[in-house]
Amino acid sequence: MKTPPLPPTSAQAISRRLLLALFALATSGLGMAPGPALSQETAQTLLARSDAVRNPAFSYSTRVVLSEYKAGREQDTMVLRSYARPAQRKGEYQTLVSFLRPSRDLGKHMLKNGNDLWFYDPAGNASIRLSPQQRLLGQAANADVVSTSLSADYVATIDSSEEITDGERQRRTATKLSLRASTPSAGYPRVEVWVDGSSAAPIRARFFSDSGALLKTIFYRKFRTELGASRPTEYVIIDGVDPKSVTLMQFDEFRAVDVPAQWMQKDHMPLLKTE
Amino acid sequence: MPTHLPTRMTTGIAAPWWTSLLALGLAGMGTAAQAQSNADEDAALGLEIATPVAEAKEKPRAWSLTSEVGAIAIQERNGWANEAATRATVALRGNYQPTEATNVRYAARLDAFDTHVNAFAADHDRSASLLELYATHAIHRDLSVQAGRINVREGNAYSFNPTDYYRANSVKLFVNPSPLVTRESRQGTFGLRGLWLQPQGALSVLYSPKLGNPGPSNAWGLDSALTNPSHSLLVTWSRTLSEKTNVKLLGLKASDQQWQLGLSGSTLVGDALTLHAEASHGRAVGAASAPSGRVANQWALGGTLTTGQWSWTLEQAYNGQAITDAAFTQWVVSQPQAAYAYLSGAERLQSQNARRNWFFYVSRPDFIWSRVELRGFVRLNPNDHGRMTWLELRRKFDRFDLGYQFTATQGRATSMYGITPAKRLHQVVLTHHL
Repeated sequence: MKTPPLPPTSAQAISRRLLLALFALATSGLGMAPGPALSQETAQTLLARSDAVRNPAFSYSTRVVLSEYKAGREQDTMVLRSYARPAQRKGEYQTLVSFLRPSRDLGKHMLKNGNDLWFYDPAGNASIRLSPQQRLLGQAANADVVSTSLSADYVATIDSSEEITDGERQRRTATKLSLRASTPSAGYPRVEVWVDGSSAAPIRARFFSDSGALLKTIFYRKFRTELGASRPTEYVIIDGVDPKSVTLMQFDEFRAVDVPAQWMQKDHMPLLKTE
Repeated sequence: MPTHLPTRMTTGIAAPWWTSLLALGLAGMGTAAQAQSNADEDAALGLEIATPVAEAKEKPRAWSLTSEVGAIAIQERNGWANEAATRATVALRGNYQPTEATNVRYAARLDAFDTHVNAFAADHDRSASLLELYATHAIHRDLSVQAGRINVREGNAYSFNPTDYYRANSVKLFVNPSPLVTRESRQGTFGLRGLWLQPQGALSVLYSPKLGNPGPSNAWGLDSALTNPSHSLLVTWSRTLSEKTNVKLLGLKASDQQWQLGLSGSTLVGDALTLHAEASHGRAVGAASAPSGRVANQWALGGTLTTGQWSWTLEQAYNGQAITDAAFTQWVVSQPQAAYAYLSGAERLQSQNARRNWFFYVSRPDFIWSRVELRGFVRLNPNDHGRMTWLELRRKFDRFDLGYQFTATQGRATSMYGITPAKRLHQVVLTHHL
């Protein structure tokens, strides 16, 4: 369920900050009328459980279909293959993304290892260091969001239990967690996450700027059993500034794979084979 | 006490009659905003990925074929006649995996102009280039060997790469003045390379044999004597020092020159700025101007700042092998053909023609319109203030790109940019991606 990251534009671009980072929280216990066991669960534990719903604790790959919409009209679509590997820092992942479609981006790769972010373009045989803010291949930037761990970068507090609309447009009760960034690598200063009270599955997340402005809302939906657990297989990402700008990220072809540590460095990117 | 009560009541009732209206209005606006927000969310949740799914299910190809046609109009200076031309390019790139441990990578292109264009350093009007063709065999997961024509590209600067030791004479036909585009048509060097991947870096050793004495380029040949003019050995060692910093050391020994040592690196500052640098130290051999045997340093230093969707790159580069501006001016006055030959030679070497240059590059996707990309640069000689400006607007469709490129050179009549024949160049390109 994680989606690997993506790259910049040398020759073309896709969409926004590559690293925004993160998401999801999960939770369990809060929700409605938490039972004794759940009530003892700390907010941080809920957050970690929610992270685990999105991301397996082992290396894996998945295919990502990413579509961008403006006012309901599809603007752009790309297909990526992502490889994720647990990093040394607990809860974080190293991600390597390979672009499969459109054909103009075939063979390009993006690597994210914390703040170490690289883009490789086979046409120029060049690996370029990117900053987290740098936008190279458009919406692909959102992909790494998937594999980011919130519990590693945020301190969570249980806010309340609320009835909200989930990604399937169903009303349901969820536990709301308020997150504050606790590390420099956190992509946003403040995040709100709604999780299922029993399964800790992430339902919705909102990411805010320093000024408190809403930057993006993410709905997690289409839960399926993948890699041994029920996980969301589609993210709906709504731009906070322009709510009519929406990105759908769909995941399939989950596979547990052995991703060597040597892959997660820029010198390996030219060696990565195109499918 | 009695006085306080009435006062408070009066204050509460009379004074803010308008505040009540304001509060009601704000409440109404808030409700309306919330309703709009809910409607937007509902609309977003109603979206489903449609068309791409079936297509995406198809097994992706391991190759791509790019075709491009361009129409060029050039306004010349110094008595050169204006030019117009059309051109076409077909480029194939991909890989083939015959076994689990072996992978073959290939890239080739055909270029053609309908007429000779003086604005480009071109030995041919039509050419075929084998950019790379090499096999990689993984001995184990950390160790690989490669053999064939390998495109060995080094350096992280945008404009001029002092550590890119195999760049000279690697391009048969220039179709664009931008170094960013030129890199896409360079041919690799024939050689054998070992690559040892480590968790935080890599060590590589490349042996490139001499395959002939350099001569004129052959439009339909491999130009192996040009890409392999001497026996050479390139050793590189890269290391990630921290999550934000990496360095690379390079050493090149060619049979006709002493060791050249190189260093490159980059670092992240904050979350919006990257800095990069590279430098090379060695004795000039076959350089465009510097006396052979003289130590000639080269370096480039720059950074890229991202603000919103804009990326801004500023670099300064120094080329100790380049001619001085004063000497070039003398050439222009006394032997102008030598000056033209120098500029043409520098382009073929993909070297910086001036001792010192500033380079400013900007890019932005979704420029004004969705899927329209803007990128451009200005290269400035700080001594004579001559400059080259390049700008590209490219609209990307699903399988096509439609682009407009503009190039302009400005400078005194005796400066490097001032004697360049092409004063302004317009090119419209249509690119198809298969």
